[in-house]
Amino acid sequence: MKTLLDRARRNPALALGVAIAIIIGAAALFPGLFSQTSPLEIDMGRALQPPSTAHPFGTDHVGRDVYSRVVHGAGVTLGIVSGSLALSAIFGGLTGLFAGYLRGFSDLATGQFTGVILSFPPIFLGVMITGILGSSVANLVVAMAIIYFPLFVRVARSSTMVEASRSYTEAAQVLGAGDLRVIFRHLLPNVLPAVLTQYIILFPLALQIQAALGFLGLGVQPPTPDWGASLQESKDYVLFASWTAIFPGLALILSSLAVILIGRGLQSKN
Amino acid sequence: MNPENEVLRLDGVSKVFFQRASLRASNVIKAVTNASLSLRRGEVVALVGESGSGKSTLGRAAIRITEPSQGKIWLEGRQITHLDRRKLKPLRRKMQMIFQDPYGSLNPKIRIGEAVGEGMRLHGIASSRDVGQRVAAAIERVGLPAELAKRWPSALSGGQRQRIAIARALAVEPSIIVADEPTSALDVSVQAEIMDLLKDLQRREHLSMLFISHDLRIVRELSDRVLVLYLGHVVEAGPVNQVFSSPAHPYTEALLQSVPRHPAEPAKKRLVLEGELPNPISPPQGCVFHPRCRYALPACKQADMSSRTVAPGHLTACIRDDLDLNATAVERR
Repeated sequence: MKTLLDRARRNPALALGVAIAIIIGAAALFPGLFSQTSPLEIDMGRALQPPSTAHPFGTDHVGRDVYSRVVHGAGVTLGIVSGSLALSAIFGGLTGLFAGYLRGFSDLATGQFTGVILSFPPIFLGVMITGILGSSVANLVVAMAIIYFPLFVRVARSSTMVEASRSYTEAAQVLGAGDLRVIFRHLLPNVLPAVLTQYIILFPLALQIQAALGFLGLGVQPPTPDWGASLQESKDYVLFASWTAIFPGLALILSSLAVILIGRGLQSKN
Repeated sequence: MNPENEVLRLDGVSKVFFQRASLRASNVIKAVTNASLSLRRGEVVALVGESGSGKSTLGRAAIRITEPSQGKIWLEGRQITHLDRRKLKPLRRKMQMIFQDPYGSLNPKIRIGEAVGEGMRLHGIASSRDVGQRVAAAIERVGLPAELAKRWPSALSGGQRQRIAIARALAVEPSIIVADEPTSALDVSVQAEIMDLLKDLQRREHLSMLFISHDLRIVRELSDRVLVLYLGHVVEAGPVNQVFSSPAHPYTEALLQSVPRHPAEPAKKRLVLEGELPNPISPPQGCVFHPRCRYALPACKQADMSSRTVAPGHLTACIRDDLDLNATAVERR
């Protein structure tokens, strides 16, 4: 953490990313600090008002405060994305570790299974899974976790194979460490950085998919504020009340940007 | 030979690898063929040969880190060839290994102290209370300050890392140590240091070692007996002094000639081995060395690589008993 801030001081792009992430992260965790207005309060008398001091981002088609909906939507949208990616990273990472270390049949089986998942386009897979399981936030999280599962498996597997070929793995076996000890004590700490990198790389992509699925009405149900769902609701008014679409869209773009800037900044050497 | 003192015995050990050549066919690579050896307590036996001769594979098969395809292995008189992993586990502490690359052999995410103490904990040699003290003793045993226990491997030099790898292997008080070219990845100045340490430890603690190396000068200095490997076959075996002073196999002769000599020495005509190590997928018929051997006879194409005794304890796989091979003095380094 300290190094992150140290590096941010020398890298303006990284600093920008960190700043945006802090603001959006704070909004996601403590929306009450940013907006006292309820994101659900309907008032047809003030529908589709342009931005003003009372409603900085304007109001939507049923008179709800767009600013409040964007602020409260942060926790919903980012929570779903980070949660589903975390699930993916844990299960995919473990699967990749075991497949990459044990090889043989388990490796072949996971390879084929992940290949099947990868053969579907992500949106299609999301529609299919939520279609089968039913449209709810929990099912959306499951669907997104499945979509990204193979990508974590592959990264963890290849990194595990590299680490397992280094002689410290053989040294642990010579000392009498069992498979589980080799995997969790010796390989996991060395494979973790690759999995975390993959998490950062996939975050903006997953955010887009989540918004797209929200736009299609899958997962988050109205009136819960969600950036993707807000875009869907605003699509009929976007030509004359553009603020209803611009601000949730901007929130999506800025979140992606923040993650990309942080990822790039950490990658660069200075 | 007194079996009481025998720490390790290999009988007819072979190892083949399968390499996928196409969808249907696999190539069979004979890494080691029919190797036997016996190692007594306190003895150092060297495996020498060029890269690809199978010396590392044989060393790994001897402690069942690589599963031998054929042959039998005894550890302290007990056959361990077919022990399953669960039964083998308590025996792991008796067979340790020192690796070639000290940068790869220490886990970068594990502190020195934990690495050295891992075996002691795994085998219940030290309680968690006194493991710290024993780790400190193990680190000091290889001539390093005990404070290094708190450091990460990245803070150590190559020589220090190799000392730690040696400390880790010795910490579980093994009966046998396989040292796989423990100095060849190090700077020359550090090589000497590590050799001195190994020699010192060996003399003081009577370690039994299987010493894998291609550096004949180091072999001469450290080992009692030597096995010369060529393309997976033991072509000559015997006491170091005897093998080096009166080699009985043409390959040994050529190997001895390849040792760099001091420039002040009068230049003698050198035998240079022609050609390259043949592909182990399709080894030559008969004696595997005959295509490169300057003494080869037609009969060598039918030779079966079995050993004959030239002197007590000195074996060769060469069928010619009429040769007077040149010994080149291999100086200690």
